[in-house]
Amino acid sequence: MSFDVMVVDDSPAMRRFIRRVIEVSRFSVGRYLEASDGQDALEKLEGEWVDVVLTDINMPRMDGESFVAEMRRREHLSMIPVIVISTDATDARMERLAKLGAQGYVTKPFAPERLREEIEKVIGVTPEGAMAGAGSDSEGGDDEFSF
Amino acid sequence: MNSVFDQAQLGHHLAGAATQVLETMFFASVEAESQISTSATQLQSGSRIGAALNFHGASKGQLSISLEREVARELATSFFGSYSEDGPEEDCRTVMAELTNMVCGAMLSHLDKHSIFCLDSPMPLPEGEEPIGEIVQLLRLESGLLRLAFSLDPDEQSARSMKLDSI
Repeated sequence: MSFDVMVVDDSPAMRRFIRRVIEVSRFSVGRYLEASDGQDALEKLEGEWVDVVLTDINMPRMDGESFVAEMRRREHLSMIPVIVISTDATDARMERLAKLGAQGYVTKPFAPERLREEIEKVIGVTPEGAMAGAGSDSEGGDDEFSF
Repeated sequence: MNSVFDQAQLGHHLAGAATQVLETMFFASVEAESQISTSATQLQSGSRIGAALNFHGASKGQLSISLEREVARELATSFFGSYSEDGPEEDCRTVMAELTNMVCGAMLSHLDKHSIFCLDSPMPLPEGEEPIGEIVQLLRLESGLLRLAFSLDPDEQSARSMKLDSI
């Protein structure tokens, strides 16, 4: 089983890093969508379904807080789990995002394992169910990442 | 728990935040840290690259970072896995921006867990310009020196009176 993922971040570098982290974690990704801010994400999610959205907070046009709030207002997007990925590790920010409807929060810096665990938690899958090709012949073991 | 920071504590937290970011996101090894006076220039001559950003919210100020260009290239390779289509120079600038952003976020989160802050977009430091600020810290990486400078705006609460909620 594979999962469709959208990453919303105004930094192409961070989108690229997150994609790499997800790939090396052997999380089974179907479609990998990217958006540069909340507005771009909402436009790309029109008529689309993804299994999880990973979003930054500080972005131009529409920031992460407004984006999460807007997703919860729109019926067809309200059930999509959202994980915030941010440098802001303050309790105040985390509480605010949780109230707006974010199900997960990963603070930068983060280890690849941390991101994978959070995705698995919010979409409700076990590690075994989320990994593709994690057979006995895979190198390094399930919890090892090689960059 | 609330306690009061002095410059040494702020420097320690700055170094701690940078070390955490470098080791976790860039898979770099930080060998040592040292606090230096703002006037000291112990940096190797040669090509360096830097970035700075302003933060605001509960506190206002600036964080800037510089690094040997060759070390920045190594960090870029670790971060991205390979060079992008933009080439190594652009990757260096991008990595310096991301590094500055993450270190600042980690530092501010350590200082006050109960206040919201906002980070502006990092901007490149002009060629040849080194970070200056109230707190200056050097971190020795395997192949070079990272210089960090952290300052609060003069009209803000001074660094010495910043409250530490938890570490």
